[in-house]
Amino acid sequence: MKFTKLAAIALISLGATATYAQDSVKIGALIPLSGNYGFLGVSERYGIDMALEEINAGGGVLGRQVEVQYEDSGTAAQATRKATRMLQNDGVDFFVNGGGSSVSTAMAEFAARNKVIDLALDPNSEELVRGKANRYFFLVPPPSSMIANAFVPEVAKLGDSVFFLTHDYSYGIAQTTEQRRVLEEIGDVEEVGEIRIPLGTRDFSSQIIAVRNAKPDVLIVNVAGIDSTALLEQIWEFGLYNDMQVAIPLLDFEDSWAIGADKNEMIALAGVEWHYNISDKAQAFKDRYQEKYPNADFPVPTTNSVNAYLGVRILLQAAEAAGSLESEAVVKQLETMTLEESLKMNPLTVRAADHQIVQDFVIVKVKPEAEREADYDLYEVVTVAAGADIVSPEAEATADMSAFD
Amino acid sequence: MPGFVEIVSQLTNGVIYGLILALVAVGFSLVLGVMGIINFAHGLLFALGAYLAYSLQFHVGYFGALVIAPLIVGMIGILMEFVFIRRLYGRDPLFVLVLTFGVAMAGEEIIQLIWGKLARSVDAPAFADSFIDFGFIIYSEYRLFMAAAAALIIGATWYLLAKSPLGSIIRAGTHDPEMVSILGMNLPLIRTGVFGFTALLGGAAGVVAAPLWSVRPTMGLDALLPAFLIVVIGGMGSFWGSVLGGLLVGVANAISVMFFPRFADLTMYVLAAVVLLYWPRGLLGKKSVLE
Repeated sequence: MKFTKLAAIALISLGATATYAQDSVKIGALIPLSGNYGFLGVSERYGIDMALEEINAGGGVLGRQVEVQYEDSGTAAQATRKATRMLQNDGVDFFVNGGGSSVSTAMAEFAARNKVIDLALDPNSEELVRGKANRYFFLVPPPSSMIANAFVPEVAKLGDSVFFLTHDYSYGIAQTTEQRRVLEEIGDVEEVGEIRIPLGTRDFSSQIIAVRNAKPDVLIVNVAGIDSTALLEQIWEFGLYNDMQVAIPLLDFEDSWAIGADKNEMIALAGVEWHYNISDKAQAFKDRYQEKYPNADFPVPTTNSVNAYLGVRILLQAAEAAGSLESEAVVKQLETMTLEESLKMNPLTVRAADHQIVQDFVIVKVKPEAEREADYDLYEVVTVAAGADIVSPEAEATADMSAFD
Repeated sequence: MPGFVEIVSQLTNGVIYGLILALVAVGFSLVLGVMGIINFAHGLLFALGAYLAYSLQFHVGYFGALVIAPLIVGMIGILMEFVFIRRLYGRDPLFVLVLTFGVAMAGEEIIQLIWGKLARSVDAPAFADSFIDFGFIIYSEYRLFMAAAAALIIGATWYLLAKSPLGSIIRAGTHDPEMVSILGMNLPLIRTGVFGFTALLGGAAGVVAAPLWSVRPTMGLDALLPAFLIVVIGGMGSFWGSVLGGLLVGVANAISVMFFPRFADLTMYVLAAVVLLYWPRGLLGKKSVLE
C-alpha cells in the first residue's frame, strides 16, 4: 500500500516536471553571483530579466513562456559542472554565461561537446572567436581587436607617446597586443613602456611612480574588474592625471560609479560598449530600466546589462524564427540574424565565420559638470564606431564552424 | 635599469606601504602572540572597519569615522569572543582557526547583504586629499598621513603592552594563566578585552586603508593573506616581528616592481620561503604557544 502511494506520488511529480518542461522554454544562465565579479552578475541579471519580461509579455517563444534558471558561474570547472547538471536534470534548452574569459572558454567547449547553444555575455577575449570558436558558441561583446580598432585612433590624437598598464592575464595581454598593432599601423605614436600588473593587485603605488618617471603623454589602462577600481582610486590619489592623459579602452560603468563622480574627471578618454545617449532606443531602454529597477545598484543600465539583454533577445528571436528549439536549427538561424532593436546606432548582426556578434563601440569623454543632467550623467559621446568598420577581417577567421558528428 | 631618483622614490614608497601593511598585520599578530589564536576573522574586522567608515563618512566625516568605526568593530570583536571563541580556549588551536575562518566567510556574505556587491569609495579627509611635490617624488598626502597614523597606532599599542601595568598582566596571562587567576585577576575578562582590542586595531586599519584600496566585500580575505604571511615572516606572535615583516614586504614589493613587475605578487611568498628556510620560526619568532 505504502509502495503504491509512493509510486503514485513519484509518477505525478514526474508527470508534473514533464509538463512543466514542455510548457516553458528554459535558459540556463551561469553568471557571477559571488566573489570578485559578483557585481557584474547583478548587472547581467537585470538585463536578462528585462529581455525575458518583454518576450513573455509578447507571447513568449513558439507560443511558450520563457524562464531562466540562474546559477553562480564560479570557476570554469564549477560552471561546466553546473551546466551539465542543468542540461541533464533541469531540461535547459540554451545557455548564456558571464564570468569572464576563463568561464567562457570552458563553456565554449561544453557547448561543442554537448551540441547545445551558449552565448558568452561579458568576455572580451579574442581567443573566443579564433581558436575556441565553434558551431555552438557565440560571443556577444566585442573582442580586443574591435576595441583597439575603435579606440586607438582616438588615443593617437591625445599625444605622441603612450605607456601601457596591462593586467597580466589573457584579457589584459590581448588588449595591449591589439592596441599595439593599431598603434604601429598609425605609425607616429611611440610606446615608452609597459608594466604587467598581476591579477589581484591592490596597491599600485610602485607602478604609479614608475609610470610617472617614464613621462608618457598618454597612459593606457588595460586593467579590468575589481582591480581597476583600486587602480583608478590611486591614480587619482597620486594626481597622475595632471602629468598625462589617462585613457581607458574598456571602462565599465560599474567602476566609474564605484569611484564617485569627482574621480571620473581624471579620465581623458574611455571606450564603452554602450551608452544611453547614442540613440532614441537606447534612451528608451534606459528609461524602462529606471522604471523597473528604481533601487538598482546602478542607476543606469551598464554594458553588462545591455549585452545580457541583447544576447537573450537575439537568441530567442532566432529560436522563434527557426520554429524550433533544436540546436542545429537555431544555430543556422542565428548565423543569418540581424537584430534591429540593437539599442545602438546600427543593427546587431551575427558573423557566420566565427560567431562574433557584431556591434558598435562607443568612445566617450567626461561631461563638464555644468552640463550634467543627473548624478550618473558623467560622460558624453565623442564618436561611435560602427561594428562593421571595426570587426577584424572575415578572412582572419580560422575556426571550423561546421557541425562535427 | 631604473635611475637613482626612481630607486629612492620606490624605496621610500616601499617603506610607507610596509607601514600600512604592518598596521593590518599587527592586530592579527597580537591576538596570536597574546592569546594563541589564529584569527582568520581578522580580515573581516578590517573590512568592517572600512565599510563602517564608508557609511559613517556621510554623517560624522572622516575623523569621526576614524574614532567611531574602530570602537564599533571592537565591540563586535568582544561579542565574537563572548559567543564563539571562549568556548575553544585550551583546545587544539586548529579548532579556533576553522571557526574564525567560518566566521570570516559568513561575515563576507553579511557584508554583501548590508552594503551590496559593488565596490564603494571612501574619500580621503580634505586636509590630505592631494599630493605633494618633493622634487624627486610627487607623493600622496594621504599616504604620508596614513604612514604617520600607522606608526602612531603601532607605537601606542607597544607602549600599552610593554610598558603599562595592564600590559604586564596581559603578558603574564599568556605565560602562566593559572598564576594570574590565583592572583585574583579576572582572566576571562582580560581575554575578552584583549580580543576586543585587537578587533579595534583591525577596524582602525580598515578605516585608514579604505580611501586607498577601495571598499568591497572581498577585501577582508584579500587583506588576510598578506597579514598572515607578514606574521610568518616576522615571527609568529612577535610584535616587532610583524612590523619588520610588513616593512620587508613593502620594500621587496617596491624592488620587484622596478625589476620584475610581473612577479610583484610573488615577492612576499618568495620572501616567506627564504625566511622560513633560515629562520623556521620567522625573523623574530620565539617558541610559540602553537608549538
